[in-house]
Amino acid sequence: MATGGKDYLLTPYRVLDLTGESGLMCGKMLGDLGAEVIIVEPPGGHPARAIGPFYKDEVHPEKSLFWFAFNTSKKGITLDLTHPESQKICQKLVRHSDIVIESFAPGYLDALGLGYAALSALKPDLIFTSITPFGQNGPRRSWKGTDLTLQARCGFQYLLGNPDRPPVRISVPMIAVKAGMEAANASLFALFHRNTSGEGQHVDVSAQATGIWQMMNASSFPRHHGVDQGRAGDRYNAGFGNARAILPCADGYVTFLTMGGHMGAPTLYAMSHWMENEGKLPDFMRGKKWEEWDLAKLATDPQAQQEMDDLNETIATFLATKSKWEIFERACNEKILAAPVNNVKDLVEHPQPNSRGFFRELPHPELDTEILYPGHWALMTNTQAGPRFRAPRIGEHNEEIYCRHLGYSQAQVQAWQQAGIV
Amino acid sequence: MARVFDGLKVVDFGWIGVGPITARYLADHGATVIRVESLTRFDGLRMAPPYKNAKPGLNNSQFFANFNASKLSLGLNMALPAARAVARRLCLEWADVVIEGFTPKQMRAWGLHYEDLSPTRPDLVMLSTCQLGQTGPYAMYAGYGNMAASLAGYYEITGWADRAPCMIYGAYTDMLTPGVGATLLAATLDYRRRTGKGQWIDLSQFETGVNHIPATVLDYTVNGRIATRRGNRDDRACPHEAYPCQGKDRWLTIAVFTDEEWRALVHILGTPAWVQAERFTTHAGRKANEDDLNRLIAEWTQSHDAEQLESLLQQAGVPAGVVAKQSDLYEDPQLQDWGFFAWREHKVMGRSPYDGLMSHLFKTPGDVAPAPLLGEHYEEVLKGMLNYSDEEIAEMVGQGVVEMMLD
Repeated sequence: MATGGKDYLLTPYRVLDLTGESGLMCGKMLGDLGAEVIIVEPPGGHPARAIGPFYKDEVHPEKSLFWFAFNTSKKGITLDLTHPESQKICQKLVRHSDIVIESFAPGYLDALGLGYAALSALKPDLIFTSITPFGQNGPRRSWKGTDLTLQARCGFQYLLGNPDRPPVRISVPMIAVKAGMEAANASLFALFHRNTSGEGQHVDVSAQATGIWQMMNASSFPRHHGVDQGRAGDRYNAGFGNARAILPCADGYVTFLTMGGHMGAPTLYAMSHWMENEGKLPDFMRGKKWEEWDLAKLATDPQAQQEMDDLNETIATFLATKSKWEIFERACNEKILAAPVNNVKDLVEHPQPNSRGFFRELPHPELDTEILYPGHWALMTNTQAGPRFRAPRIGEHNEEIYCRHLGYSQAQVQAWQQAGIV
Repeated sequence: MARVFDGLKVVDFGWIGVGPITARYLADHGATVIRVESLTRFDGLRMAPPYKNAKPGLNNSQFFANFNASKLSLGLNMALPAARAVARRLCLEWADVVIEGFTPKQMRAWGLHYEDLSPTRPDLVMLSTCQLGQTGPYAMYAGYGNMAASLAGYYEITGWADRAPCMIYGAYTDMLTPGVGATLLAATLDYRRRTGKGQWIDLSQFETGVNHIPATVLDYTVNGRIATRRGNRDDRACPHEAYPCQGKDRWLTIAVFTDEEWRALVHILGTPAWVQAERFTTHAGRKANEDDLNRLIAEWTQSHDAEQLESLLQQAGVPAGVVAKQSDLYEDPQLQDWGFFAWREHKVMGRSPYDGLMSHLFKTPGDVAPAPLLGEHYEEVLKGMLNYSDEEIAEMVGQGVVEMMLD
């Protein structure tokens, strides 16, 4: 399914993006799907432009790779939302929009006359999506939330890290990305409803709630097993025994799941076969019926856990002599639950996404270069979705939006500029 | 109350995580979702923990139940031609949306590939999701989200710089991909509404993982920098760590990004002598002395109650968050206000907590219904939706075409 020349999915729609650093993913997704997304920055530039990494490590508001990464497919205008004149301008922008997304503290936009109540009076079928740490209501609605404190408060961090050290987050901020994606999803659900019923609405996204959906099967362990799951370092817990799952190999690490039972048996047969071929199959693995190797027993039976540890170490010793690619190829051909622990270089160079045209080069004429971006969101038979063009420069589309879309005169925009509104 | 997808019909051939969770987004918002599953080759999650009373059983897994809430279940032994014929009728005569999550060859083997269905049903919307996508040299790679997360670079960036990478609990790309899948489905359903055309969506879980760390990718493609794990460190913030508090394995995260937040923290600390030291007065100074600073803050936090300190810090404007255990989440007043956990009565498991909605659509809120037993809704589906007669249904049950486990 080649992507070239296909339509994007959301071309009829316009989105006004008022989000700060914690909501940028939402507008990116909608823009990558084809909506015209206009991000509003304060005069002087969006605070996210100060976030690194930077292009060639040059700290500059037009060179933030963080900004580039989360604002593809958006147009940009400047507007000081706190200025009294801005209310009118913003209202006009909203009349031209299907969806408004914002990530201010609850109540902030209401105080400026730009909250859902005011804007929906103006445009009743508006979708107004709010992304906040804890949601619009409740006792902690005004609490601050950062990636670290929210990964903690949603329970995910408790499950990550080595047991002898503090729990960790993933070293790259994830919760705003997850919350932004869920906000894009909820906005489109609301848009679907609007298009079938005519009714707009306020959509409230809680980053804490989205964070809980990172935890797979953990949240109901206390209810059903009377225990909390915890962090296990390089071992795999999640109620599947407790085997070491990150194993050193000849040129790095691989992930390997020692599970047994019906989910893990094919892997253990394939490993036995591979080890036998190389004369390295120990007797205790010979003729074993791996389906009957009871996962549930492992949690409570110390002898079963010992058996798993022995097996785990035997396989680890075997894999330590193999390369990541050798293991990956073998895993692919023989259905072994193993994968290399890739770093970003490995994944950018990986033949699989590259064979699918996943990465895209976007021109940055101001930097006299093209930058390689990830990537399409999927391959589709009739349409495409992925970054369409680079993030906007500060105020890049002021004239296009204010003059050509909204019909203000250039003299008017210049006057705003002098007053510091734009 | 109206729901977004009232009247929408979805067949869910999902398997394990991504397909079923994606279908649940639609089910919670009103779509009629038929989870097609099997007794002879049951979904692995039906025999995966947690189980009610920690006892394995096909209708006793909350792992399965959580991802399959709000759905109907039809059991089919797809090894039999008669079962495949039923599945085909569901797709061609009933469904608006088909979701599947097998390795690429499976649906083709059953005659249920998009190319088998779309000539009759050009308006069909179909989502196929697998580890590495439907095309390319490694399309047949089979695994769980643990594998795709490893391939997409997530374990390399989790843990401590001086240690081996850490596993991320669960199957991380399984947690990221459904949000993308449901978003693509919503956009495609709107496209279908406008054009009358459906389409096939090929969603790679590996690619989805990479798409969630775009700044990390650009730092490599532009600067050649290879990100690695760094505990809880963040260039922009200091202190930025989980600190030990009173009690067993009790931690409080504190994240200071601005001098204003630092001064507020100092005030709560009670301005001890060490904190006045010149080396801690600027962000650069704190960063240069981060190990010492973390040690000193930990000495202070360990004699405090985590939740009390969290409240105190938040009231002073310092970002702080207790590292919640799962059991803490049930009691979390904010999540209670949100109504996050949907406690529902399951026919076998009784009252169980389902993970609830991540967003509130105030006029069309959606809801969560308990998960089905294996094959529970065969009559409703076969008779009500496909008009099979009682005799035909009895015959299919007798021949093992239709499967179920109802206790």
